[in-house]
Amino acid sequence: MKTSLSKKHDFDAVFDSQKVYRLVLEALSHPTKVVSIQEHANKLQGSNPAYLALAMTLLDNEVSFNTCENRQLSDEISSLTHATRTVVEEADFIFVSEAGDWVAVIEHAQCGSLANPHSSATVIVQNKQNSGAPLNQLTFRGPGIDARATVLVTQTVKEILELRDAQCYEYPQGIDLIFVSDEGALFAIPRLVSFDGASQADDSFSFPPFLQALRSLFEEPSKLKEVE
Amino acid sequence: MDKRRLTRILARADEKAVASLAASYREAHQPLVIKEPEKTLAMIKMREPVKQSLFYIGEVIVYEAVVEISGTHGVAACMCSGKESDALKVLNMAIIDAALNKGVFAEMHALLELERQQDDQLMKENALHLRTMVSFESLDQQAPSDLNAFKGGAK
Amino acid sequence: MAYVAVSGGEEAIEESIRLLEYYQNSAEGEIAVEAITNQLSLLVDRVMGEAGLYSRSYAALALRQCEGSVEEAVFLLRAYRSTLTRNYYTHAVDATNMRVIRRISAAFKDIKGGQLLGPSYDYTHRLIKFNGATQSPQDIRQTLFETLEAEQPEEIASCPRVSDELRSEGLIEQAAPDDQSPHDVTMHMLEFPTTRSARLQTLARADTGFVSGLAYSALRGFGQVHPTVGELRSGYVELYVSYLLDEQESVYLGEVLITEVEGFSPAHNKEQLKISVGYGAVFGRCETKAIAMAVIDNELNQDGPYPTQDEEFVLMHGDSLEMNGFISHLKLPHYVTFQSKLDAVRKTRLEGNKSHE
Repeated sequence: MKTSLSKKHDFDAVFDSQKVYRLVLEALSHPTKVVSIQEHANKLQGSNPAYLALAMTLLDNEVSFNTCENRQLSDEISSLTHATRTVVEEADFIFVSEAGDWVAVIEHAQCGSLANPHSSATVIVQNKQNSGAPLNQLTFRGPGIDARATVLVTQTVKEILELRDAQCYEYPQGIDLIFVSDEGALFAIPRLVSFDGASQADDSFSFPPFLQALRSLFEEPSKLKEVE
Repeated sequence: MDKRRLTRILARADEKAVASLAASYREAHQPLVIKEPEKTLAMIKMREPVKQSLFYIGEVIVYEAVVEISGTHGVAACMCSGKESDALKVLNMAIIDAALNKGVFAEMHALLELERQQDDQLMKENALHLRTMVSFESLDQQAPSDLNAFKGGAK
Repeated sequence: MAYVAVSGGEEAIEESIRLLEYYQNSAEGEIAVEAITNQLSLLVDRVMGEAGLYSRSYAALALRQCEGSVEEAVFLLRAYRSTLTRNYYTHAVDATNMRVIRRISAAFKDIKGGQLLGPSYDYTHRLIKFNGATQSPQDIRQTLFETLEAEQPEEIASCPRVSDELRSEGLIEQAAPDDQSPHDVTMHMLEFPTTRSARLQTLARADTGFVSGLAYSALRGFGQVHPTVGELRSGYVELYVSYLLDEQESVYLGEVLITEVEGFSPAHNKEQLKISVGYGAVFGRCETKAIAMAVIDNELNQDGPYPTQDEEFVLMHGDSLEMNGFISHLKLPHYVTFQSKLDAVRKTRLEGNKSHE
């Protein structure tokens, strides 16, 4: 319903969330592929538009979430989605930043049960733009990846993935990870995707154009189109 | 005034009364709409007396809206009456809620007066219904028709 | 089951819909939606109950749109409802605090709060008024307005439950509050054996005719109970939800009109000698359905050979949409299925003729 008052957000609860959903689905179905939700996140005002775009798409009053003590984000998500706030151990969705206590999140996030593996947490991690620190080359395997995909990730992403593995979830239990930068570049690592190789990348390597473009993506997401 | 009482007064008021209460805050504070008035459902949970258990009797259509006045949120939800003015009413209710949360709402007396009028109307309707109360004249003194006959005491 | 995919007929369908419009509008006088909500309010109550959606004006609109067909109106409402989000669950409503408009007991004459007849057709003479009401609607409204204005306001007091009195005597089992989350049949399919919440929700939204017919059959001997209406109460209950910004606070959504019945019958446990209670609750003033629901609730509490004591029989066949939908699906082309049946019959006849030669 149109009102004469100005709207804080331009994000359409139906159309924008549909588009974000499709993008997230693409990311989950093709792990290591990077998508951009920037266009939609830009329509939201708040402390963390990318998180809010994901919240508007994935959360409703039937699920619970945790923002790792970020009260402002928690209030925003609650008033937009009616989702219930709860502790990390019971949350369906957890929003944590690289600077936050992701260790506690990975260690305590629920991983579902053997009968209901889907009642696990989806952890949404916000990573900062690469500040020039060395990247790590990891090789991923699993559903949605054609044989192997080798990509460059930041040190924190690697540590998060290692900590995830250290939980030794019994199949089919586990957690699903979504990484989103504050520029809206998003990729996902579902629970069955495994990785190996943790060599630090150095410039003496000559990467094929695909990987170089991917590396620059973490620095400049506007280059997404070139990757495609 | 707690939200329970506030929302009861506003929900039962007509759209014009709510609009006039919200008008000055619209003007003065330029509220931002966080969530435009939209229909949603509320599932009605009931407690039944036999096993004291809970069940869902059905859903009701509700309008809701969220606004913001200088960083302070206001929320409203109200049963849909089917009138076109429902959406505007809930938006104005949200503005009043935000004004109260911000501490700038100054028309408590108007709310109390509305409440008095609403209660008065309901009590008059009640009186009309009470006319249909049966006053029995028992033809048979022996009939064990009094619930309190078991107790043997006065009502 | 073999359905045939057919093409063609688009024009015929368009013409059919056009013809329907003619049927709906061939005479003068369009009914206003308010006229349906006010003057056909019991029909609106029935439709809301069977749709499981409390919205008087939308139920009226749906009825007007489909020439008053209850099954079509229920379909329209359920279809619309499925497009909406469900952002709220109300706090548990306890109808003990109902603002009653009618409240009677057939079990006891004198009850706390009294016997309040309210607006009911039970006490009217069933004589069709061929010349309409004696007073014009405007005059009646004027009289109502004047009467209300002149009324002395009476404090609204809630009526304690008749059954609570018997509970305090120990004649009815006093149950402890059971806060288990109710089953929601709109989200999860019924599985047998079901829970009490699934049973009550299913019956509350079941077709009125089905529920009433089943209850009647139980009363006529195809059942074990013949209960007494311990209490029937019709009135308004208030709906509250948690305030979004502070869970400690509540928000008032509005009031809904419901009818609740508790039916008493002697329990079969000879050792205990208590009264067992059946419960019914529906939207609106659908008293017969509420009583029928209470009868069935009581029947389902006993094991026995009767249909009304079979959970699956009672709960699977009463949903208006499912019931009418399945019956009307028989109109879909079943050409291939029927052809094969016809062939089988012809073949049998042919063989039969041959054997006579």
